[in-house]
Amino acid sequence: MTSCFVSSSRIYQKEAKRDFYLVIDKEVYQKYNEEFSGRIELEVDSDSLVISKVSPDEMGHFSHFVHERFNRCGSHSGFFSLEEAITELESVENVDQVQSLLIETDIDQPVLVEAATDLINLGRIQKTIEELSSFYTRYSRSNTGVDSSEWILREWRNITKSRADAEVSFFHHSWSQPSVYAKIKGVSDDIIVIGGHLDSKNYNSSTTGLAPGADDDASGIAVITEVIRVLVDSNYVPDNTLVFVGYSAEEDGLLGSKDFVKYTFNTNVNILGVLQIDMALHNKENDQIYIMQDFSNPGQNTFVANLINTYTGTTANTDFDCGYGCSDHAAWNHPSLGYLGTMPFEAEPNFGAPNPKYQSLIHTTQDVLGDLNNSLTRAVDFAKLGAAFMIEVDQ
Amino acid sequence: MKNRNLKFIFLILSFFSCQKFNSSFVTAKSGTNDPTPNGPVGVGTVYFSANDSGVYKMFKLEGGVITEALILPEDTSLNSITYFNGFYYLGLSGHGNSRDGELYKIENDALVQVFEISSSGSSNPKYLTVHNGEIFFSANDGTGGRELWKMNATEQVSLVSDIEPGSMGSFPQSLTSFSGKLYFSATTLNQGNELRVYNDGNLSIVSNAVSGGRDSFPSFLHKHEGELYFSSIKSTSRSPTAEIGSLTTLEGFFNKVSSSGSTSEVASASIDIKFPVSLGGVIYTSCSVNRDNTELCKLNSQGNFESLGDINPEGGAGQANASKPSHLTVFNGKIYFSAYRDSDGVELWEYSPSSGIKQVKDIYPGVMSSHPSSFWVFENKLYFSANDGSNGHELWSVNASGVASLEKDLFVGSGSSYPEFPFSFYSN
Repeated sequence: MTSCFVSSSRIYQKEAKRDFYLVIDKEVYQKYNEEFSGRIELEVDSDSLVISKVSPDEMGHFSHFVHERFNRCGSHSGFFSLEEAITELESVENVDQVQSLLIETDIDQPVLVEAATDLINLGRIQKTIEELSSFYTRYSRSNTGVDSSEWILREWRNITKSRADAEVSFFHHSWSQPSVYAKIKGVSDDIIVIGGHLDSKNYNSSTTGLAPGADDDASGIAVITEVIRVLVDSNYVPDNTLVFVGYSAEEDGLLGSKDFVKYTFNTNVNILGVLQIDMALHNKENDQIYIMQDFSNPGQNTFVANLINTYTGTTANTDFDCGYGCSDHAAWNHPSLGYLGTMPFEAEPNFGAPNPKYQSLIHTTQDVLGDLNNSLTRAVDFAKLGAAFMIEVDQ
Repeated sequence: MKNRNLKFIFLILSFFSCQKFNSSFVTAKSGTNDPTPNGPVGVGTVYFSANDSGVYKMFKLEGGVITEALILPEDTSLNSITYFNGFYYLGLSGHGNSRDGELYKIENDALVQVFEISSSGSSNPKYLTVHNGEIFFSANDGTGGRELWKMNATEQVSLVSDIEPGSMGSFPQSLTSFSGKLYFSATTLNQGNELRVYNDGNLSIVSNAVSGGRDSFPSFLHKHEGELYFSSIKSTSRSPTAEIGSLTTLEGFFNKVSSSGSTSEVASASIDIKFPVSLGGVIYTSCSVNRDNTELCKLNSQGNFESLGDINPEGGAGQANASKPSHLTVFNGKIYFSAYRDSDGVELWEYSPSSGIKQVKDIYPGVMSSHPSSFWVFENKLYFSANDGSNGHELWSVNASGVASLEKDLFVGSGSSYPEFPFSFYSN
């Protein structure tokens, strides 16, 4: 889960530094301007968002401010041109564009779903989280981040090696760490997507430093890995094409998913559903799974809530917003269809509360598997949800 | 830790045709222990690994003939391979609960485990690199994390150094033998991820002076005209505020180490500098100049990166529309690479100083991508993996005339063989 959409990794260069345009919450802009008057400029003022021009030298300061004060990021996204930022702002504010993709989808495949979910193995999920969180960092511009992508690639290839209908590949970006995707091809080219982010980041040392990222988001990749495994092991043959993605650079502002989504939109395939698994481990109070209602698809959100209630050991809560585009589901913003994704979350996202129920130690050295409030059974719930989502949408 | 010295799996199969495989390559050049990745075209043997319908195997290519050599242990795949003292040595990656991801060699077309580094799981040796009569590599013994190991000429395996004490490991990467020393990146909690050098039993840090701080993440080590170049990101700290904490900025840097060991910055770019190659005395990379889209670049005579063109002009501005050249490989006087364009997806491209940039082939017709990768030069051909949409990820080649074609559909039908890189991401 990203706390800051502002990418400090993109803004610095030795010469000819350019300003950066941020689409940010008006509240964040106002607060920052109160405390650091005149350090960022207002370019466009809208209802709840503004576009602010920020110098490269100011970006790190601003990112840190938002992380520290809001325990999240008030910036929706960052762009190199004002034109791009205006396009994004209009898209975000035009909520009327959002259409329901999946409201007609029934939940009627318990036999197929349970054939897969019965194979879910808690120990394997644990091992995947251990492997991923053992890297010094999975930061998108680090060489250990590249190694972690390679580890995922090899693991997914090994899981699918017996399937002639499967392919696993890197998806390269401008920065070092590639995303990884897997496909299990169906008769139809229409796609169903489940994704998480494979990068991690330590915000306490700005952009580098030890970042185990066990919950954020080794847990999501572990869940997706297990979903692939149980679909393969249950010999599930899809009608549509199932796509599994480990996005790079989510922590830098959804950069990896933006690349992947841009590429996917360009191929003109029909997108039947998009699920994001980001933080699927912490469960301090035996909480429900919360579905973020903003930057997501309302019809699909309802459908996913029903899946949670039907197939997992818990229930869904649909009363919460993330408050910003807090993970890669927000990148799936189609120019005509609007938001396509759904983002279930491990616990109540009471951001900034004195007693947070979710893992509030993300982006620190303490986001480790051994955290006492982590629960692998929560990850199992998400794996059940992931498998059920792929099968029920497919059918 | 113990030496199992078990004979493992040794199917010596005969000729192989019309089977699917997943390829990774290493070339044995006559009279040398140096199987230089993407080295000059020569006569010899190329070994590659392959996923043959769910079973990973090793195959070899000699004189244009492919034969199956042996089967890898279940739930393992090839991490790294190198040629040393007349044998091929392999580092295997163990998946799931496999304990067989260890160090092996091929002897009489049989796979022999050289050493079991981890007694509790797989040590997954990576980046096997010949240096001063020994093989150096990274491995995880299960207790000390991933560290630097070596094997000498008598196959004695030992830990070089526990660089990061405790269980975390230092993650040695990008191992490169240069000027009698072994250069690599490694991480410690105190010093971060930096370039290090091993010289006659002594380990030291190299590049903090270059990076100006911790975690420069050195990568893509590249030897060019007697100097060792590498990419890094530069962390520049400025004074913290009382309320906010320290501030850090980043940019991509290209640096070099001279034969004497002195280090200096060469050039910068706004995002990471990747996949350096040398052609005609000039270094080419994938890079982003002045925050324009990431494209093919060259390091010009003024010491600055210069973009060689916008491969995806219809995509417009923004890094999501960049062509992002990857896997740069020199063959037959040209640079071959994969790159993205809206109308074609990620496909095979070439560059030469005389004819500029052009697409070699839209292997997966239309907007879908063939994702060319795992480039390897051998016997007057450039081999690579690509997916044409009908046959899956299979072995393709470019011949001396520059024509790209499917070398063999070894997994008949739509299934993929997933060609992989044998040495490391950074070498290809």
